[in-house]
Amino acid sequence: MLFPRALTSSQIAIIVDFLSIILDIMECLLIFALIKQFKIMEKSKTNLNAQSVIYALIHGATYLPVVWLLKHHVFSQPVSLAIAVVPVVTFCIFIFKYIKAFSTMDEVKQRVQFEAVVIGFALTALLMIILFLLSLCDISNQGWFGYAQLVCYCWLFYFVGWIISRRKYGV
Amino acid sequence: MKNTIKVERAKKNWTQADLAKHIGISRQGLNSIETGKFIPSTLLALRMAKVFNTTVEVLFQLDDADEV
Repeated sequence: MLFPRALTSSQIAIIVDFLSIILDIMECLLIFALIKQFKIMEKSKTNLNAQSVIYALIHGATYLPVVWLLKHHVFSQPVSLAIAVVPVVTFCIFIFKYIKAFSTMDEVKQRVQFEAVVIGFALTALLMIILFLLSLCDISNQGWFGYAQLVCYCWLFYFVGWIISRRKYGV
Repeated sequence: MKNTIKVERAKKNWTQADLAKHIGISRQGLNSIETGKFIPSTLLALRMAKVFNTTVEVLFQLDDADEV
């Protein structure tokens, strides 16, 4: 006979069980390999700092094309949403890497980063308060102070804080 | 707050980079501590005292302005 005979339901169940066990083993091996790789990456502090910068650049590299794409092309809503999610994901990864890098920095660098973030946050909040109050007075300029520009101002304020803090501690 | 890190470092003939490596911080960070711009944590102060084989009180002293 060239073709195998039809399998009984119990045989199919055994095969399915066997395949699921193999899949579980493969999954465990994959998780183990990922954890090992992650631990290797964790060992180098410089590597972590570089990684956070790289992921910030990746975020920038995804954010700008996505903004351009959504501004200049018309897509259906689900496609637009799918495109819009990309820079959000890269930003989340960047923040995760930044926090990991922060925890491995020495205390002087931690203080510099902390003050940079505080200054950046405070100035961004201040700008938003001013813009909100001005909008209540019917004064607004969406070309300069829209949502997209606020992101840029937020980064700008972070760098202002970073420079101030670096100068303060002479780092 | 004043410190005698530079003096202790000179006794051991260590550069800032050497000491920074021993206590696990960056050279720029150590420079910031040595020049009094940044006050280190208790842990770092104790680590420094240990590598110099001295006490924290010898390394760091309160300024007149810091006194209550």
